[in-house]
Amino acid sequence: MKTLFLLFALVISMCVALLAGSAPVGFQELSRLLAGTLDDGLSTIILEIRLPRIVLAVIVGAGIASSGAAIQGLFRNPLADPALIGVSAGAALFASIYVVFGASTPVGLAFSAFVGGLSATWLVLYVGGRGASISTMLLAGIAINAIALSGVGLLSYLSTDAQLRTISFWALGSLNGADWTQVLISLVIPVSTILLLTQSQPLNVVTLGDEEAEHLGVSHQRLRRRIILLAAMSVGVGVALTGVIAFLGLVVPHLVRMMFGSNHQIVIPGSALLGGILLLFADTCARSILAPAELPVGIITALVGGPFFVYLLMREQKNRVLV
Amino acid sequence: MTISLAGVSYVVGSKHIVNEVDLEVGCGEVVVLLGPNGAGKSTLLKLISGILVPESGTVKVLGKKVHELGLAERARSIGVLTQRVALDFPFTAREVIAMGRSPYGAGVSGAAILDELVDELAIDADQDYLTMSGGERQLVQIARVFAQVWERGEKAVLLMDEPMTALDMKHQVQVISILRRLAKSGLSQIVVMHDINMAATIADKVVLMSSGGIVAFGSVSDVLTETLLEETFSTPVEVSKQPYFRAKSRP
Repeated sequence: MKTLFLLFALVISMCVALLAGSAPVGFQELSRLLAGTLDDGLSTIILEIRLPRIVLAVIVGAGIASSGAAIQGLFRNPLADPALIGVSAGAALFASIYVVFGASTPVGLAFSAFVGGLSATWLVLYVGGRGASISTMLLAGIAINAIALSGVGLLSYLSTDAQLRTISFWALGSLNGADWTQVLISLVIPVSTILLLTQSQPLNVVTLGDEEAEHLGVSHQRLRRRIILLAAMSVGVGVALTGVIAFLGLVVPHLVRMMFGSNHQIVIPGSALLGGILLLFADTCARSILAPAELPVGIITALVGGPFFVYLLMREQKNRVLV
Repeated sequence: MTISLAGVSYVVGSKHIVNEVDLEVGCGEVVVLLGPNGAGKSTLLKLISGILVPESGTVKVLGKKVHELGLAERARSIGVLTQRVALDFPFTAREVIAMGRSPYGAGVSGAAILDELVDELAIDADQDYLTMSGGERQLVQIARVFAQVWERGEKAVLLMDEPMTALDMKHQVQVISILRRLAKSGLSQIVVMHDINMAATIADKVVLMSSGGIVAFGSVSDVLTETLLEETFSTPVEVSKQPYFRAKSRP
Protein backbone atom coordinates (compact mmCIF):
# COMPACT_ATOMS: atom_id res chain seq x y z
CA MET A 1 0.00 0.00 0.00
CA LYS A 2 2.77 2.38 1.05
CA THR A 3 4.89 1.57 -1.97
CA LEU A 4 1.83 1.78 -4.23
CA PHE A 5 1.40 5.38 -3.14
CA LEU A 6 5.00 6.12 -4.14
CA LEU A 7 4.55 4.25 -7.42
CA PHE A 8 1.56 6.45 -8.21
CA ALA A 9 3.58 9.58 -7.33
CA LEU A 10 6.37 8.37 -9.63
CA VAL A 11 4.02 7.97 -12.59
CA ILE A 12 2.60 11.48 -12.02
CA SER A 13 6.13 12.92 -11.77
CA MET A 14 7.13 11.26 -15.03
CA CYS A 15 4.12 12.79 -16.80
CA VAL A 16 4.89 16.24 -15.39
CA ALA A 17 8.56 15.92 -16.39
CA LEU A 18 7.54 14.97 -19.92
CA LEU A 19 5.59 18.24 -20.23
CA ALA A 20 8.27 20.47 -18.68
CA GLY A 21 11.01 22.09 -20.75
CA SER A 22 11.78 24.79 -23.26
CA ALA A 23 10.02 23.10 -26.21
CA PRO A 24 6.24 23.43 -25.80
CA VAL A 25 4.76 20.00 -25.15
CA GLY A 26 1.21 19.78 -23.78
CA PHE A 27 -1.51 17.16 -23.51
CA GLN A 28 -2.53 17.93 -27.10
CA GLU A 29 0.94 17.14 -28.41
CA LEU A 30 1.03 13.93 -26.35
CA SER A 31 -2.29 12.74 -27.74
CA ARG A 32 -1.14 13.63 -31.27
CA LEU A 33 2.06 11.66 -30.60
CA LEU A 34 0.04 8.63 -29.55
CA ALA A 35 -2.13 8.99 -32.67
CA GLY A 36 1.03 9.26 -34.82
CA THR A 37 0.17 12.73 -36.18
CA LEU A 38 2.78 14.81 -34.36
CA ASP A 39 5.48 16.48 -36.47
CA ASP A 40 8.96 14.93 -36.49
CA GLY A 41 10.72 17.70 -34.57
CA LEU A 42 8.49 17.52 -31.49
CA SER A 43 8.24 13.74 -31.51
CA THR A 44 12.05 13.53 -31.58
CA ILE A 45 12.18 15.88 -28.60
CA ILE A 46 9.68 13.74 -26.69
CA LEU A 47 10.86 10.27 -27.68
CA GLU A 48 14.59 10.71 -28.16
CA ILE A 49 15.47 13.49 -25.71
CA ARG A 50 12.96 13.83 -22.88
CA LEU A 51 11.77 10.25 -22.45
CA PRO A 52 15.20 8.55 -22.21
CA ARG A 53 16.35 11.31 -19.88
CA ILE A 54 13.30 10.81 -17.63
CA VAL A 55 13.71 7.04 -17.58
CA LEU A 56 17.45 7.35 -16.87
CA ALA A 57 16.82 9.82 -14.02
CA VAL A 58 14.30 7.46 -12.43
CA ILE A 59 16.56 4.40 -12.76
CA VAL A 60 19.73 6.12 -11.52
CA GLY A 61 17.89 7.84 -8.65
CA ALA A 62 16.33 4.52 -7.66
CA GLY A 63 19.71 2.77 -7.73
CA ILE A 64 21.53 5.40 -5.66
CA ALA A 65 18.79 5.69 -3.04
CA SER A 66 18.14 1.96 -2.60
CA SER A 67 21.90 1.35 -2.33
CA GLY A 68 22.03 4.10 0.30
CA ALA A 69 19.30 2.35 2.27
CA ALA A 70 21.11 -0.99 2.16
CA ILE A 71 24.51 0.54 3.03
CA GLN A 72 22.99 2.39 6.01
CA GLY A 73 21.47 -0.86 7.27
CA LEU A 74 24.68 -2.78 6.74
CA PHE A 75 26.85 -0.19 8.51
CA ARG A 76 24.16 0.20 11.19
CA ASN A 77 24.45 3.91 10.70
CA PRO A 78 21.57 6.05 9.45
CA LEU A 79 24.12 8.65 8.34
CA ALA A 80 26.08 6.32 6.06
CA ASP A 81 26.16 6.97 2.34
CA PRO A 82 27.08 4.84 -0.69
CA ALA A 83 30.12 7.10 -1.10
CA LEU A 84 31.51 5.40 2.03
CA ILE A 85 32.37 2.27 0.08
CA GLY A 86 34.59 4.37 -2.18
CA VAL A 87 32.56 3.90 -5.35
CA SER A 88 32.00 7.59 -6.15
CA ALA A 89 35.54 8.69 -5.35
CA GLY A 90 37.03 5.78 -7.31
CA ALA A 91 34.82 6.63 -10.26
CA ALA A 92 35.80 10.30 -10.03
CA LEU A 93 39.51 9.42 -9.98
CA PHE A 94 39.33 7.14 -13.02
CA ALA A 95 37.11 9.61 -14.88
CA SER A 96 39.70 12.35 -14.24
CA ILE A 97 42.56 10.08 -15.36
CA TYR A 98 40.64 9.36 -18.55
CA VAL A 99 39.95 13.04 -19.21
CA VAL A 100 43.54 14.15 -18.57
CA PHE A 101 45.43 11.30 -20.24
CA GLY A 102 42.91 9.73 -22.60
CA ALA A 103 40.54 10.77 -25.32
CA SER A 104 37.25 12.38 -24.46
CA THR A 105 34.50 10.13 -25.74
CA PRO A 106 31.54 9.92 -23.35
CA VAL A 107 31.46 6.11 -23.56
CA GLY A 108 35.14 5.89 -22.58
CA LEU A 109 34.56 8.32 -19.71
CA ALA A 110 31.62 6.27 -18.43
CA PHE A 111 33.51 3.01 -18.76
CA SER A 112 36.59 4.21 -16.91
CA ALA A 113 34.40 5.75 -14.17
CA PHE A 114 32.68 2.40 -13.76
CA VAL A 115 35.98 0.52 -13.56
CA GLY A 116 37.27 3.08 -11.04
CA GLY A 117 34.17 2.78 -8.87
CA LEU A 118 34.35 -0.99 -8.69
CA SER A 119 38.14 -1.00 -8.12
CA ALA A 120 37.87 1.39 -5.17
CA THR A 121 35.06 -0.69 -3.68
CA TRP A 122 37.09 -3.85 -4.10
CA LEU A 123 39.99 -2.15 -2.30
CA VAL A 124 37.70 -1.13 0.60
CA LEU A 125 36.43 -4.72 0.82
CA TYR A 126 39.98 -6.08 0.64
CA VAL A 127 41.44 -3.79 3.31
CA GLY A 128 38.49 -3.69 5.68
CA GLY A 129 36.53 -6.79 4.86
CA ARG A 130 38.59 -9.76 5.92
CA GLY A 131 36.88 -10.51 9.19
CA ALA A 132 37.45 -6.95 10.34
CA SER A 133 34.84 -5.02 12.26
CA ILE A 134 32.44 -2.67 10.57
CA SER A 135 34.29 0.35 11.97
CA THR A 136 37.60 -0.83 10.43
CA MET A 137 35.81 -1.03 7.15
CA LEU A 138 34.33 2.45 7.56
CA LEU A 139 37.82 3.79 8.23
CA ALA A 140 39.17 1.93 5.20
CA GLY A 141 36.41 3.57 3.14
CA ILE A 142 37.27 7.01 4.46
CA ALA A 143 40.98 6.50 3.74
CA ILE A 144 40.42 5.24 0.19
CA ASN A 145 37.97 8.09 -0.46
CA ALA A 146 40.59 10.59 0.69
CA ILE A 147 43.32 9.02 -1.46
CA ALA A 148 41.10 8.97 -4.56
CA LEU A 149 39.93 12.54 -4.05
CA SER A 150 43.49 13.80 -3.59
CA GLY A 151 44.27 12.08 -6.92
CA VAL A 152 41.36 13.99 -8.49
CA GLY A 153 42.77 17.20 -6.98
CA LEU A 154 46.22 16.52 -8.43
CA LEU A 155 44.79 15.73 -11.86
CA SER A 156 42.67 18.89 -11.76
CA TYR A 157 45.84 20.84 -11.03
CA LEU A 158 47.62 19.25 -14.00
CA SER A 159 44.71 19.55 -16.42
CA THR A 160 44.12 22.16 -19.10
CA ASP A 161 41.18 24.56 -18.75
CA ALA A 162 38.97 22.50 -21.06
CA GLN A 163 39.82 19.26 -19.25
CA LEU A 164 39.18 20.91 -15.89
CA ARG A 165 35.74 21.98 -17.07
CA THR A 166 34.90 18.41 -18.14
CA ILE A 167 36.12 17.01 -14.81
CA SER A 168 34.19 19.49 -12.69
CA PHE A 169 31.03 19.19 -14.78
CA TRP A 170 31.18 15.41 -14.43
CA ALA A 171 31.81 15.71 -10.70
CA LEU A 172 28.66 17.81 -10.31
CA GLY A 173 26.46 15.28 -12.09
CA SER A 174 24.23 15.79 -15.10
CA LEU A 175 21.70 13.86 -17.13
CA ASN A 176 22.26 16.01 -20.19
CA GLY A 177 22.56 13.97 -23.39
CA ALA A 178 20.83 10.88 -22.01
CA ASP A 179 19.84 8.44 -24.77
CA TRP A 180 18.31 4.99 -25.08
CA THR A 181 21.74 3.30 -25.18
CA GLN A 182 22.47 4.72 -21.74
CA VAL A 183 19.04 3.59 -20.56
CA LEU A 184 19.85 0.10 -21.84
CA ILE A 185 23.15 0.06 -19.90
CA SER A 186 21.38 1.37 -16.81
CA LEU A 187 19.12 -1.71 -16.72
CA VAL A 188 21.83 -3.33 -14.58
CA ILE A 189 20.51 -1.06 -11.80
CA PRO A 190 16.98 -2.48 -11.44
CA VAL A 191 18.46 -5.98 -11.45
CA SER A 192 20.78 -5.20 -8.56
CA THR A 193 17.99 -3.30 -6.75
CA ILE A 194 15.80 -6.41 -6.90
CA LEU A 195 18.71 -8.52 -5.62
CA LEU A 196 19.17 -6.00 -2.78
CA LEU A 197 15.49 -6.40 -1.96
CA THR A 198 15.98 -10.15 -1.48
CA GLN A 199 18.45 -9.27 1.30
CA SER A 200 15.91 -7.21 3.30
CA GLN A 201 15.37 -9.66 6.14
CA PRO A 202 19.11 -10.30 6.74
CA LEU A 203 19.61 -6.52 6.63
CA ASN A 204 16.94 -6.06 9.31
CA VAL A 205 18.68 -8.63 11.49
CA VAL A 206 22.19 -7.22 11.02
CA THR A 207 21.08 -3.85 12.43
CA LEU A 208 21.11 -5.61 15.84
CA GLY A 209 24.87 -6.18 15.53
CA ASP A 210 27.21 -8.66 13.80
CA GLU A 211 27.19 -11.12 16.69
CA GLU A 212 23.42 -10.95 17.12
CA ALA A 213 22.97 -11.48 13.37
CA GLU A 214 25.09 -14.62 13.55
CA HIS A 215 22.96 -15.90 16.44
CA LEU A 216 19.96 -15.43 14.17
CA GLY A 217 21.54 -17.36 11.31
CA VAL A 218 22.90 -14.47 9.21
CA SER A 219 26.57 -14.45 8.23
CA HIS A 220 27.45 -10.78 8.44
CA GLN A 221 30.59 -11.27 6.37
CA ARG A 222 28.76 -12.87 3.47
CA LEU A 223 25.98 -10.28 3.72
CA ARG A 224 28.56 -7.49 3.73
CA ARG A 225 30.21 -8.74 0.52
CA ARG A 226 26.85 -9.20 -1.18
CA ILE A 227 25.44 -5.78 -0.24
CA ILE A 228 28.61 -3.89 -1.08
CA LEU A 229 28.96 -5.52 -4.48
CA LEU A 230 25.30 -4.93 -5.36
CA ALA A 231 25.45 -1.30 -4.17
CA ALA A 232 28.71 -0.77 -6.08
CA MET A 233 27.07 -2.12 -9.25
CA SER A 234 24.08 0.22 -8.90
CA VAL A 235 25.99 3.31 -7.89
CA GLY A 236 28.95 2.50 -10.17
CA VAL A 237 26.75 2.31 -13.27
CA GLY A 238 24.77 5.37 -12.12
CA VAL A 239 27.86 7.48 -11.49
CA ALA A 240 29.42 6.34 -14.75
CA LEU A 241 26.38 7.48 -16.72
CA THR A 242 25.51 10.69 -14.92
CA GLY A 243 28.47 11.78 -12.77
CA VAL A 244 28.37 12.19 -9.00
CA ILE A 245 24.93 12.94 -7.61
CA ALA A 246 25.23 14.18 -4.07
CA PHE A 247 22.98 13.57 -1.07
CA LEU A 248 20.38 11.33 -2.69
CA GLY A 249 21.74 8.13 -1.12
CA LEU A 250 21.85 9.75 2.29
CA VAL A 251 18.59 11.71 2.45
CA VAL A 252 16.10 9.47 0.66
CA PRO A 253 16.34 6.36 2.91
CA HIS A 254 16.09 8.68 5.89
CA LEU A 255 12.88 10.21 4.53
CA VAL A 256 11.43 6.78 3.80
CA ARG A 257 12.22 5.59 7.34
CA MET A 258 10.49 8.65 8.76
CA MET A 259 7.40 7.93 6.68
CA PHE A 260 7.22 4.15 6.72
CA GLY A 261 9.50 2.84 9.51
CA SER A 262 12.74 0.87 9.32
CA ASN A 263 11.77 -2.52 7.90
CA HIS A 264 14.06 -2.99 4.88
CA GLN A 265 11.32 -4.85 3.04
CA ILE A 266 9.69 -1.42 2.73
CA VAL A 267 12.73 0.86 3.04
CA ILE A 268 14.52 -0.58 -0.02
CA PRO A 269 11.66 -0.43 -2.55
CA GLY A 270 10.42 2.80 -0.94
CA SER A 271 13.85 4.40 -1.32
CA ALA A 272 14.09 3.20 -4.92
CA LEU A 273 10.76 4.84 -5.79
CA LEU A 274 11.36 8.05 -3.85
CA GLY A 275 14.94 8.27 -5.16
CA GLY A 276 13.58 8.01 -8.70
CA ILE A 277 10.98 10.71 -8.02
CA LEU A 278 13.46 13.12 -6.41
CA LEU A 279 16.21 12.77 -9.01
CA LEU A 280 13.60 13.26 -11.73
CA PHE A 281 12.29 16.34 -9.92
CA ALA A 282 15.81 17.74 -9.48
CA ASP A 283 16.67 17.07 -13.11
CA THR A 284 13.46 18.68 -14.33
CA CYS A 285 14.35 21.77 -12.25
CA ALA A 286 17.94 21.65 -13.56
CA ARG A 287 16.80 21.83 -17.18
CA SER A 288 13.86 24.23 -16.62
CA ILE A 289 15.13 26.94 -14.25
CA LEU A 290 17.59 28.52 -16.69
CA ALA A 291 16.15 26.99 -19.90
CA PRO A 292 17.51 26.59 -22.52
CA ALA A 293 20.72 26.53 -20.41
CA GLU A 294 21.16 23.79 -17.79
CA LEU A 295 22.39 23.53 -14.22
CA PRO A 296 24.27 20.39 -13.14
CA VAL A 297 21.71 18.26 -11.29
CA GLY A 298 24.17 17.44 -8.48
CA ILE A 299 24.11 21.10 -7.47
CA ILE A 300 20.34 20.99 -7.05
CA THR A 301 20.30 17.71 -5.09
CA ALA A 302 22.98 19.03 -2.72
CA LEU A 303 21.51 22.52 -2.47
CA VAL A 304 18.03 21.27 -1.60
CA GLY A 305 19.04 18.01 0.10
CA GLY A 306 21.65 19.51 2.43
CA PRO A 307 19.56 22.10 4.29
CA PHE A 308 16.53 19.79 4.30
CA PHE A 309 18.62 17.07 5.89
CA VAL A 310 19.85 19.44 8.59
CA TYR A 311 16.22 20.36 9.31
CA LEU A 312 15.26 16.68 9.57
CA LEU A 313 18.12 15.96 11.95
CA MET A 314 17.18 18.82 14.22
CA ARG A 315 13.50 17.86 14.21
CA GLU A 316 14.28 14.23 14.93
CA GLN A 317 16.63 15.07 17.77
CA LYS A 318 13.71 16.66 19.59
CA ASN A 319 11.56 13.54 19.32
CA ARG A 320 14.08 10.98 20.50
CA VAL A 321 14.94 9.86 24.00
CA LEU A 322 18.67 9.72 24.60
CA VAL A 323 19.47 6.48 26.37
CA MET B 1 23.00 -33.74 28.41
CA THR B 2 21.92 -30.82 26.23
CA ILE B 3 25.05 -28.74 26.80
CA SER B 4 28.37 -30.35 27.57
CA LEU B 5 31.82 -28.82 27.78
CA ALA B 6 34.97 -30.90 28.16
CA GLY B 7 38.35 -29.31 28.89
CA VAL B 8 37.40 -26.03 27.21
CA SER B 9 40.05 -23.30 27.23
CA TYR B 10 40.24 -19.92 25.55
CA VAL B 11 43.43 -17.91 25.46
CA VAL B 12 44.07 -14.29 24.50
CA GLY B 13 47.80 -13.55 24.22
CA SER B 14 49.20 -15.50 27.13
CA LYS B 15 46.14 -15.07 29.36
CA HIS B 16 43.74 -17.94 29.91
CA ILE B 17 40.33 -16.22 29.82
CA VAL B 18 38.64 -19.62 30.18
CA ASN B 19 40.70 -22.44 31.64
CA GLU B 20 39.96 -26.17 31.31
CA VAL B 21 36.23 -25.88 31.95
CA ASP B 22 34.04 -28.99 32.19
CA LEU B 23 30.29 -28.46 32.47
CA GLU B 24 27.17 -30.55 31.91
CA VAL B 25 23.69 -29.09 31.68
CA GLY B 26 20.71 -31.45 31.62
CA CYS B 27 17.46 -31.12 29.70
CA GLY B 28 15.29 -28.29 31.07
CA GLU B 29 17.87 -27.22 33.67
CA VAL B 30 18.44 -23.57 34.53
CA VAL B 31 22.10 -22.98 35.33
CA VAL B 32 23.23 -19.58 36.61
CA LEU B 33 26.83 -18.45 36.09
CA LEU B 34 28.08 -16.24 38.91
CA GLY B 35 31.47 -14.71 39.42
CA PRO B 36 33.39 -11.45 39.76
CA ASN B 37 33.99 -9.14 36.78
CA GLY B 38 36.55 -10.63 34.42
CA ALA B 39 35.93 -14.19 35.65
CA GLY B 40 35.28 -15.36 32.08
CA LYS B 41 31.48 -15.79 32.29
CA SER B 42 30.60 -13.91 29.09
CA THR B 43 33.50 -15.54 27.21
CA LEU B 44 32.25 -18.96 28.31
CA LEU B 45 28.81 -18.05 26.97
CA LYS B 46 30.38 -16.99 23.65
CA LEU B 47 32.22 -20.32 23.46
CA ILE B 48 28.98 -22.24 24.03
CA SER B 49 27.09 -20.12 21.48
CA GLY B 50 29.76 -20.74 18.83
CA ILE B 51 30.84 -17.12 18.39
CA LEU B 52 34.30 -17.95 19.77
CA VAL B 53 36.27 -21.09 18.96
CA PRO B 54 37.99 -22.72 21.95
CA GLU B 55 41.76 -23.10 21.99
CA SER B 56 41.27 -26.65 23.24
CA GLY B 57 38.44 -28.88 24.37
CA THR B 58 35.01 -29.49 22.91
CA VAL B 59 31.65 -27.77 23.22
CA LYS B 60 28.59 -29.85 22.40
CA VAL B 61 25.04 -28.59 22.21
CA LEU B 62 22.20 -31.10 21.79
CA GLY B 63 24.79 -33.81 21.15
CA LYS B 64 26.55 -32.03 18.28
CA LYS B 65 29.82 -30.11 18.28
CA VAL B 66 28.76 -26.49 18.12
CA HIS B 67 31.24 -25.60 15.37
CA GLU B 68 29.98 -28.31 13.13
CA LEU B 69 26.48 -26.82 13.13
CA GLY B 70 25.60 -24.66 10.12
CA LEU B 71 24.59 -21.07 10.90
CA ALA B 72 20.90 -21.74 10.23
CA GLU B 73 20.82 -24.88 12.39
CA ARG B 74 22.74 -23.09 15.13
CA ALA B 75 20.19 -20.26 15.09
CA ARG B 76 17.35 -22.74 15.52
CA SER B 77 19.16 -24.58 18.31
CA ILE B 78 20.70 -21.78 20.38
CA GLY B 79 18.97 -18.56 21.40
CA VAL B 80 21.39 -15.94 22.72
CA LEU B 81 20.86 -12.64 24.50
CA THR B 82 24.09 -10.66 24.47
CA GLN B 83 24.93 -7.97 27.00
CA ARG B 84 24.42 -4.87 24.90
CA VAL B 85 22.48 -4.60 21.68
CA ALA B 86 23.09 -1.32 19.88
CA LEU B 87 20.14 -0.78 17.57
CA ASP B 88 20.05 2.66 15.99
CA PHE B 89 17.06 2.47 13.67
CA PRO B 90 13.45 3.35 14.45
CA PHE B 91 11.99 -0.16 14.26
CA THR B 92 8.79 -0.80 16.19
CA ALA B 93 9.04 -3.07 19.22
CA ARG B 94 7.11 -5.75 17.34
CA GLU B 95 9.50 -5.62 14.37
CA VAL B 96 12.47 -6.11 16.71
CA ILE B 97 10.80 -9.08 18.43
CA ALA B 98 9.89 -10.54 15.02
CA MET B 99 13.62 -10.66 14.12
CA GLY B 100 13.80 -13.56 16.57
CA ARG B 101 11.68 -15.58 14.14
CA SER B 102 14.01 -15.02 11.17
CA PRO B 103 15.85 -18.37 11.57
CA TYR B 104 12.59 -20.05 10.62
CA GLY B 105 12.47 -18.56 7.12
CA ALA B 106 11.51 -15.24 5.61
CA GLY B 107 7.87 -16.27 5.16
CA VAL B 108 7.39 -17.41 8.76
CA SER B 109 6.19 -14.56 10.95
CA GLY B 110 5.12 -16.59 13.98
CA ALA B 111 2.43 -13.95 14.52
CA ALA B 112 0.72 -15.93 17.27
CA ILE B 113 4.00 -16.24 19.21
CA LEU B 114 4.66 -12.51 18.88
CA ASP B 115 1.12 -11.68 20.07
CA GLU B 116 1.54 -13.95 23.08
CA LEU B 117 4.89 -12.43 24.05
CA VAL B 118 3.80 -8.83 23.55
CA ASP B 119 0.69 -9.53 25.64
CA GLU B 120 2.40 -11.35 28.47
CA LEU B 121 5.24 -8.85 28.85
CA ALA B 122 2.87 -5.88 28.32
CA ILE B 123 5.06 -4.41 25.58
CA ASP B 124 3.68 -1.55 23.47
CA ALA B 125 4.18 -3.33 20.16
CA ASP B 126 3.90 -0.24 17.97
CA GLN B 127 6.25 1.96 19.98
CA ASP B 128 9.40 3.17 18.24
CA TYR B 129 12.32 1.27 19.80
CA LEU B 130 14.45 4.42 19.86
CA THR B 131 11.93 6.25 22.04
CA MET B 132 12.07 3.50 24.68
CA SER B 133 14.00 3.64 27.95
CA GLY B 134 16.97 1.33 28.60
CA GLY B 135 14.82 -1.11 30.58
CA GLU B 136 12.07 -1.19 27.95
CA ARG B 137 14.64 -1.87 25.24
CA GLN B 138 16.10 -4.70 27.31
CA LEU B 139 12.64 -6.22 27.68
CA VAL B 140 12.10 -6.07 23.91
CA GLN B 141 15.45 -7.79 23.33
CA ILE B 142 14.54 -10.50 25.85
CA ALA B 143 11.21 -10.99 24.05
CA ARG B 144 13.12 -11.30 20.75
CA VAL B 145 15.25 -14.13 22.13
CA PHE B 146 12.18 -15.79 23.67
CA ALA B 147 10.53 -15.65 20.23
CA GLN B 148 13.58 -17.44 18.82
CA VAL B 149 13.29 -20.45 21.15
CA TRP B 150 9.53 -20.38 21.84
CA GLU B 151 7.94 -23.81 21.40
CA ARG B 152 11.36 -25.36 20.68
CA GLY B 153 11.43 -27.09 24.10
CA GLU B 154 14.18 -29.67 24.33
CA LYS B 155 15.26 -29.05 20.71
CA ALA B 156 16.99 -25.80 21.74
CA VAL B 157 18.97 -24.10 24.51
CA LEU B 158 18.88 -20.52 25.76
CA LEU B 159 21.94 -18.47 26.77
CA MET B 160 21.44 -15.08 28.41
CA ASP B 161 24.07 -12.59 29.53
CA GLU B 162 22.81 -10.39 32.37
CA PRO B 163 19.18 -10.28 31.23
CA MET B 164 17.74 -8.71 34.39
CA THR B 165 20.14 -5.80 34.92
CA ALA B 166 17.94 -3.01 33.57
CA LEU B 167 14.52 -4.47 34.40
CA ASP B 168 12.17 -3.24 37.11
CA MET B 169 10.74 -5.68 39.67
CA LYS B 170 7.50 -6.35 37.82
CA HIS B 171 9.28 -7.25 34.61
CA GLN B 172 11.86 -9.33 36.44
CA VAL B 173 9.01 -11.43 37.87
CA GLN B 174 7.39 -11.77 34.43
CA VAL B 175 10.66 -12.80 32.78
CA ILE B 176 11.41 -15.32 35.54
CA SER B 177 7.96 -16.83 35.18
CA ILE B 178 8.53 -17.29 31.42
CA LEU B 179 12.02 -18.72 32.03
CA ARG B 180 10.56 -21.31 34.42
CA ARG B 181 7.83 -22.22 31.96
CA LEU B 182 10.34 -22.64 29.13
CA ALA B 183 12.49 -24.81 31.41
CA LYS B 184 9.47 -27.04 32.11
CA SER B 185 9.05 -27.51 28.36
CA GLY B 186 12.60 -28.93 28.28
CA LEU B 187 14.55 -25.81 27.26
CA SER B 188 17.95 -25.80 28.99
CA GLN B 189 19.26 -22.40 30.01
CA ILE B 190 22.51 -20.81 31.07
CA VAL B 191 22.10 -17.35 32.55
CA VAL B 192 24.95 -15.04 33.53
CA MET B 193 24.07 -12.67 36.37
CA HIS B 194 25.46 -10.61 39.21
CA ASP B 195 22.48 -10.62 41.55
CA ILE B 196 23.06 -13.57 43.88
CA ASN B 197 19.53 -13.38 45.36
CA MET B 198 18.05 -13.54 41.90
CA ALA B 199 20.33 -16.46 41.06
CA ALA B 200 19.07 -18.32 44.14
CA THR B 201 15.50 -17.70 42.97
CA ILE B 202 15.76 -19.00 39.44
CA ALA B 203 18.64 -21.52 39.38
CA ASP B 204 18.41 -25.29 39.42
CA LYS B 205 22.19 -25.28 39.59
CA VAL B 206 24.79 -22.58 40.11
CA VAL B 207 28.30 -22.28 38.66
CA LEU B 208 30.79 -20.10 40.52
CA MET B 209 33.56 -18.90 38.25
CA SER B 210 36.81 -17.15 39.03
CA SER B 211 39.89 -16.41 36.88
CA GLY B 212 38.54 -18.44 33.95
CA GLY B 213 37.95 -21.61 35.95
CA ILE B 214 35.01 -23.20 37.75
CA VAL B 215 35.26 -22.88 41.54
CA ALA B 216 32.07 -24.78 42.32
CA PHE B 217 29.14 -26.32 40.48
CA GLY B 218 26.04 -27.74 42.10
CA SER B 219 22.70 -26.98 43.73
CA VAL B 220 21.94 -23.54 45.19
CA SER B 221 22.39 -24.71 48.78
CA ASP B 222 25.69 -26.44 47.99
CA VAL B 223 27.28 -23.57 46.08
CA LEU B 224 25.92 -20.34 47.58
CA THR B 225 27.71 -20.76 50.89
CA GLU B 226 29.57 -18.05 52.79
CA THR B 227 32.92 -19.79 52.37
CA LEU B 228 32.63 -20.30 48.61
CA LEU B 229 31.23 -16.81 47.95
CA GLU B 230 33.91 -15.13 50.08
CA GLU B 231 36.60 -17.11 48.31
CA THR B 232 35.21 -16.27 44.85
CA PHE B 233 34.40 -12.58 45.34
CA SER B 234 37.21 -11.81 47.85
CA THR B 235 34.80 -9.95 50.12
CA PRO B 236 33.04 -10.86 53.40
CA VAL B 237 29.60 -12.36 52.81
CA GLU B 238 26.68 -13.23 55.08
CA VAL B 239 24.13 -15.68 53.72
CA SER B 240 20.60 -15.02 54.95
CA LYS B 241 17.58 -16.95 53.80
CA GLN B 242 15.24 -14.02 54.53
CA PRO B 243 15.72 -11.24 52.00
CA TYR B 244 14.26 -7.83 52.82
CA PHE B 245 11.97 -7.92 49.80
CA ARG B 246 10.60 -10.77 47.79
CA ALA B 247 8.12 -10.55 44.91
CA LYS B 248 5.17 -12.87 45.53
CA SER B 249 4.71 -15.52 42.89
CA ARG B 250 1.53 -15.14 40.91
CA PRO B 251 -1.50 -17.25 41.82
